[in-house]
Amino acid sequence: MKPVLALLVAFLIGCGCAPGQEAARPIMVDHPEQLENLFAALDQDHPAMAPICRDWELGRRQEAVEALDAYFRKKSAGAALTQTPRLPGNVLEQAEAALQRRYYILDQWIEVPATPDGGLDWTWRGPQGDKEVAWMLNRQAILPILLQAYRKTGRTEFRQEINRLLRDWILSNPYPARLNFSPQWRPLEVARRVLESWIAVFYARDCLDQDTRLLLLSSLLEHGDALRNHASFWGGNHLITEKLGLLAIALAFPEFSDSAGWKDYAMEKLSAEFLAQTYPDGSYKELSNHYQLVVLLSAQRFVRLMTVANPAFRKEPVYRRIEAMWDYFAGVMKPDGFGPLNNDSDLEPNDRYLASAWETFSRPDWLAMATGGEEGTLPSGPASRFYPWAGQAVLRNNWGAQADWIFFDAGPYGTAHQHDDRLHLSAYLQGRPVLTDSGRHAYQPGPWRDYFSGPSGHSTLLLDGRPADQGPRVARQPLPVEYADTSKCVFAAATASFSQPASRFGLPSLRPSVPWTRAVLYDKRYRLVLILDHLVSFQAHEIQANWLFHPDIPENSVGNYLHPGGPSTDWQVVALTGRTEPPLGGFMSPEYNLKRPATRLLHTTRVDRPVTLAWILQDPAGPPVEVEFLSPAGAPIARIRLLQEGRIIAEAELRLHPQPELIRYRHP
Amino acid sequence: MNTKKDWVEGILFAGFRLMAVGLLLTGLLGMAFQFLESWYRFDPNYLGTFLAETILRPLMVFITGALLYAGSGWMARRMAVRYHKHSS
Repeated sequence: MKPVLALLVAFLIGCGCAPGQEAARPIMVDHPEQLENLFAALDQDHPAMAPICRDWELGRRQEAVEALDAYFRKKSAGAALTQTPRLPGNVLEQAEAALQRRYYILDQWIEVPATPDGGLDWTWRGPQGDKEVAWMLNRQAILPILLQAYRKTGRTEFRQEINRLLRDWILSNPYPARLNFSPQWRPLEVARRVLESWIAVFYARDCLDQDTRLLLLSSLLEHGDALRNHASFWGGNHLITEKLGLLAIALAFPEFSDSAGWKDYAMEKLSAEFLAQTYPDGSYKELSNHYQLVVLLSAQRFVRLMTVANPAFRKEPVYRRIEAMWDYFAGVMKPDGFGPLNNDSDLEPNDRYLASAWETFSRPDWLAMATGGEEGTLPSGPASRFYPWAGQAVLRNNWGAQADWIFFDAGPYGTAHQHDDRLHLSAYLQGRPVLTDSGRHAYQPGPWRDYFSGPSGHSTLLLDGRPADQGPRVARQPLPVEYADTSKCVFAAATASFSQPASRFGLPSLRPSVPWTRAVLYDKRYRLVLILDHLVSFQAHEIQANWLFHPDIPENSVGNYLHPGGPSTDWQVVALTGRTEPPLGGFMSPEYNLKRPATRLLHTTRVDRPVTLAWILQDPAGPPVEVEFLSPAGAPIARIRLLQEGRIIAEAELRLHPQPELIRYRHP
Repeated sequence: MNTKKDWVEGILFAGFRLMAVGLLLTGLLGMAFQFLESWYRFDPNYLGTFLAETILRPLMVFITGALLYAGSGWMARRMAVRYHKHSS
């Protein structure tokens, strides 16, 4: 057996091939233009590239190709450049499925059809025609999964599939050299492909064939050009990711003559964009926990790259802003470690990301917040947080897993991915979710999108079936939100307005707007939440209070958690859970494309004069708390007593109009 | 008389007056009906909101209509002046 093996190895070496590799001739024969472009773009002043370029110019092309391939086969890149997003738990299952052209995209298995020449249809949108599917497919997150499967099992099918997919993509999707919105060359997908897949695969040992390596290198060059010259021009999280992709190419491939210019350009743009796209309190201007995370992951990678490239980077303003972004990300975290579902968000495990980010910034308080105080050092001072630019107040009693957590959103509408959620409230009591946000579910227009992004998917008020006016898309200064944290309670309040619909000619209505103040008071001792909705109207209107409960709370027990209090109001109460026929609703979405039935509780009544509606949100384990108004109904200053089993447990005096204010709160 | 300028001026004047009367009626009726609808619910605690929302909006429309009514002659003459030289 041994002589036969030796002969085989000698034959392969004689062919100029290492095992598992192919000769360079096919690429030179079939795709000479790719090599011409590649060699023309190499930096002749780079010490390793100079002799290779000389060979190429002197016509010794086979030698030049071999030398270039050998150089990059041996070269390695730093961990900051080759890191990929966290791989899923079912790597082998996904890798096996990929061999059958089946991919796990956006929480569902998608079979991608083949083209007549045996490649993948890279424009495939899945059975529901969702363009997000085509975008995800072109990010090629499957490549690191296949690579991991190859490393684990040693099965060459996985390595061959990586090479096959890369060759297929590169050869079937020529670079358009202009701004392009196809799924293959949309700037965001170009950047994500580079950041999350291609650079890691390129520098992986014993993974690529020579043909694939050279094709990939030439395509990476085109990706750099696309990100430099044909990227998004409208800002947002796309722009940050695209510039980071450009920076990664520049740092991973200094052998390109354009790389130095790309690096300077990307560094300058990224620093400016991080400052421009976030508020001073650290919130990202889209005001969604999901997109906060998307930008934070780019920021974290930026920090890692910059810390290596420029040691003075830690003194830059952008470094402090990125730290503030993480601090905000920690501050809004729920007792179970997930982030809020505000605007277009999925359930993101903020705690896991914080547990890996705290060391970069030497912030053991983030670790303590993420672990409920089991590790790290808990922050001193109150646990509640107020973010004036985001207009969000997070009322809580501690950082433990059994904490109460109330998220009051009185901030701007957001620059993108907005929901109609003015003065929405989410809540956890005793560490259990009670009131939830709807989540993003999907981006496809239609009734489902309308529900998840509309007011019906939020705990808010509707006047004559219409939501309140949303805040501005961007805040030029913090919006007026009253916030007070005392020894007895935490208080937050803000005012919105219900405008009347425009006339049929498009002219503004003459009908009066209706100011609406929502005040949220969390009692630290009794661990209950008092919510006051104050409306000033002199005409008759229908008011609908919409409350969305977490799916874990059964429909028949939602009334135990939340009940109206105060002046007797003739409420009509309807509960809707998991309704799939119009008017559909009663769902929340933890992940893209997933939805869980959740009870939507509607309290409807009519008002025709200034009124104050009161609500008590409490854990049903304790005796119910009642609200007694001492002031006239609808008075601008509300004097209130909270009663439990006939006993006064708290007295409050709050101004609700024109500017909300906590005047007094005490436990007798 | 009966030059092109006169015709244009007359049409413009009539148009402005018509718009002004529309605005006057809208503002006046809006103010009247909203006041009638709301006055008995008036609460002195909310005087500012009541005036700003119930009275001021239609009042602004009424004032705009009144200004347009008063200025319609002047505006029509100014806008028709360019037709003076070409008149026959």
